[in-house]
Amino acid sequence: MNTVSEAYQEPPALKFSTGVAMAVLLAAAIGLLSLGLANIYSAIDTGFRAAITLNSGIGPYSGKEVFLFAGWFGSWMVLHFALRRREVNVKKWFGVFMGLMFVATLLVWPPVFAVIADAFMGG
Amino acid sequence: MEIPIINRIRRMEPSLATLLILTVGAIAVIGLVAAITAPVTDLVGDTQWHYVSAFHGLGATVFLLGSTIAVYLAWRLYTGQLTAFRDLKWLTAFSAFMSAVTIAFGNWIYIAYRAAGGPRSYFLGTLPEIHEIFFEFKEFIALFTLPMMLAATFLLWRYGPGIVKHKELRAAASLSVLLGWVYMILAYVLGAAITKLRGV
Repeated sequence: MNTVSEAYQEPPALKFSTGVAMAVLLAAAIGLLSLGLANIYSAIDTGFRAAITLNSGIGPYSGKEVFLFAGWFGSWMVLHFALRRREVNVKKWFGVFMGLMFVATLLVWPPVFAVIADAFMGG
Repeated sequence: MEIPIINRIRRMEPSLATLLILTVGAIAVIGLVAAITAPVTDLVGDTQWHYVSAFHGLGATVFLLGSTIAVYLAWRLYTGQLTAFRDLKWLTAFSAFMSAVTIAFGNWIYIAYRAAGGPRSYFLGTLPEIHEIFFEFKEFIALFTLPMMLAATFLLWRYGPGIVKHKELRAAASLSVLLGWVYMILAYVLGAAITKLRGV
């Protein structure tokens, strides 16, 4: 049986620029932010809420998912073509990604999105 | 006496062997308990929703098993000590797939949750905060698992073993796996608690 040290091989150098990595991460965060924003806006505007009810079974959740996937894949395409040949500061942009993820998480935490929706409705 | 399957498992990297043993073992234990304790209809219920609910829960549990092992390997990647890179690649892809499957069944069972006389109306009438805070958070946070796991899968497959040499990129890939796992645990725990309070 091979031991772990025998199986280990020196990994090759990177084949693609770091921009490709940042595009996929930032796009994921943008998609989730779109979900959070669609959720808040649906709590503010009943017309929007009705418009994004694409399936009566799961209600406006269906449209919110569409916002997630459209924001995610749409921004991934744009960012990928914009950054695919660029070397970016991974540490800095990963920090931005983590910040966006924190905001996206807060936007779907009900006590937070309810307060934001109330503020917009003048409540 | 040499048994081919045992030899094959012994040659595999530890994480994949662990996953295989855990999955087969868990299914065997659940199957045995189901077979000796109750007819299937008593175990999962007697409506179409109970089957959907069972698949949602099973999908989430398999996702939990696979992604937990992936997190361990991601930690090894983060520290630069990972040798089982191929295992991490496959486990992360498996986690992304199970996330999609669980979300799909979650969407399906959500119809029963929202239906008249379903758990939502029960919670709104008795414990509104369960729906308004915990369920609403769970339904969204479960969706966070897919972009995280898919992003990590993309990074690992696109860059290949070369990512191990790049300290910042390997941190990005491993922290994405960890983040996806944290969201999965939140959704799993909240889902289990809500089901315990009022099933479909």
